[in-house]
Amino acid sequence: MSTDTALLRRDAALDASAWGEPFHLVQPRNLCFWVYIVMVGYGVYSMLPIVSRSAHFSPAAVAAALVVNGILGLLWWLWFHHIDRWERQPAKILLAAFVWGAVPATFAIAINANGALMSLWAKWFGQDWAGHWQAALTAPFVEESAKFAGFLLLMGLAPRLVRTVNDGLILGAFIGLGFQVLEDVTYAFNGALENFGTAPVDGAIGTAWLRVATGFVSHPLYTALCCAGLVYLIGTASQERRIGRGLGFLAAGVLTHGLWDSMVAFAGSGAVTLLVMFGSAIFGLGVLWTAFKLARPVEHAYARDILAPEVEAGLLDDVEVEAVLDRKARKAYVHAGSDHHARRARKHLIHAGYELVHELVEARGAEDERVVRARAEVARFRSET
Amino acid sequence: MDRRSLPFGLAVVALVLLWVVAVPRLDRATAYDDEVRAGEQFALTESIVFTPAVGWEVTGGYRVDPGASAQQSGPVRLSSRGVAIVLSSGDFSGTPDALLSQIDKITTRLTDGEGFHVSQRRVSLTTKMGDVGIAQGFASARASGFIAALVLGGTGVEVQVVGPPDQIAAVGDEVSAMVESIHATDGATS
Repeated sequence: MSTDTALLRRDAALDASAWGEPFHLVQPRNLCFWVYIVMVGYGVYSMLPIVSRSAHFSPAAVAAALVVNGILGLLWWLWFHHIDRWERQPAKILLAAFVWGAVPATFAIAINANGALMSLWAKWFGQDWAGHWQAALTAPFVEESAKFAGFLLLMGLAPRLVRTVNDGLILGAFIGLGFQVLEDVTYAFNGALENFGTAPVDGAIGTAWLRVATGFVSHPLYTALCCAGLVYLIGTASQERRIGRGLGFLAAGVLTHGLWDSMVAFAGSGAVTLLVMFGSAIFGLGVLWTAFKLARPVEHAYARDILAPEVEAGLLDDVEVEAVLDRKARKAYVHAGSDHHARRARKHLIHAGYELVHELVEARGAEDERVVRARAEVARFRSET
Repeated sequence: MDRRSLPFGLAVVALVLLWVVAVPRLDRATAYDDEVRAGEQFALTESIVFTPAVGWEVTGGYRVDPGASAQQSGPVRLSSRGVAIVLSSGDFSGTPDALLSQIDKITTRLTDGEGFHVSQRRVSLTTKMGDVGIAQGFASARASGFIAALVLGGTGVEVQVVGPPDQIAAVGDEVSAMVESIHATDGATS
């Protein structure tokens, strides 16, 4: 391959992936912008009375709920940002996703619809039946559609940035995270009122920790699956339409949510509850792993093309590029180091390879000081391998 | 307007209309059809039950067969002739008087600015099982009624009766009988 061909490959990959491009929320000529703004406004309007009532009752409980859930949210945020390995979605779009999940999805849509639908189940099928099944037959449909509505808006606002299954997984996770954090905060507010509000701070913290302990399979996972399904279902410039696969992932997100919520129906039987709990967790995580696995080749192909001129110039070879991209290849490459020092240098080289991809993306393929520095780091570690 | 954004924006508008407008309207248009029948009991907790008046509309709560252990339990909401009665419970180790003070404190704080105030006079009530509770009238910008508090073996029970004063007077005997029917199946007393 000639240098020119390699550069063309990089340019084509940068153009097709739109990695490194900025996100602009404010687009007055875009309907999605106005829908987003109106719904956030309505969500804030619905949320303020709830927060102010709780703050008036027990400021300490509200503070405790916000601190516990804020810390948890921050940790999840950092983790999701970490697994967004290649593209590194702009912070603005991640924030827009988080805010949608936290405010409109929770306070404009879910709070209204959950209550109404649960009430309908009770009216149609009786209190006892509804008590067992209303959670499983309400939240998965209301909340997942409320959350993926935000993803649809982001697709309309940034069609170049939101086009791969990986985008669906990452942005879905951030939307779900916003929903999870604010839902947990409202649960903690309610916890403060338990037992006639005699111990509001303990109630708020206890509820918050209970939600944390049982929340390892929760909204980020459900919504990541649903949004990945939407990308397949709709089809984009980077992902051909796959209706069956799209419906499958959408159904998996809703089903995992439904299974988790159906634990209420089995509250009388500890063994069945545990089975449902772990069964839904294993199922959901398994489907998520599959979704990432299916999304990986597209991301890897873009990254390979972005690194092609570096391979052409002799900075990296194909084996090293694969080690940067693929977990198995990475293990084999590191393991092949002749001694501890070489193996450590190989690990550093892989990390430097990531950074080089990110700097090339940020510079949109141009030569700037940070790209030069990233290349120098790669060369330095490579000389020690 | 950017035409490419229309399908996404309109799809979300449709979802919002479904969940925020259509479903709540359908709910409001659908009446409860779940009247209390003779001999039915409801479970407030696994061991605290009460017997509602026949003919009241059940809008929340779980039935339990007399003498059987409750599969599900929780707050109970009933309504009849414009009056609503809501029973809820929680851990409480103090006296019924202290529980009523705590309920007043919460309600006053949570309804800040809505004109909630309670009457100065508190009256005792005694259930059929001999448990003694306390009741007190209240009024707010939105409703009036009374709150009753009982404590049965470490569990507090709150009863709120809300509605127009003349209607509360009209169903007074039924409400009294319901409050007096509250008891613990495991023998716990106040």
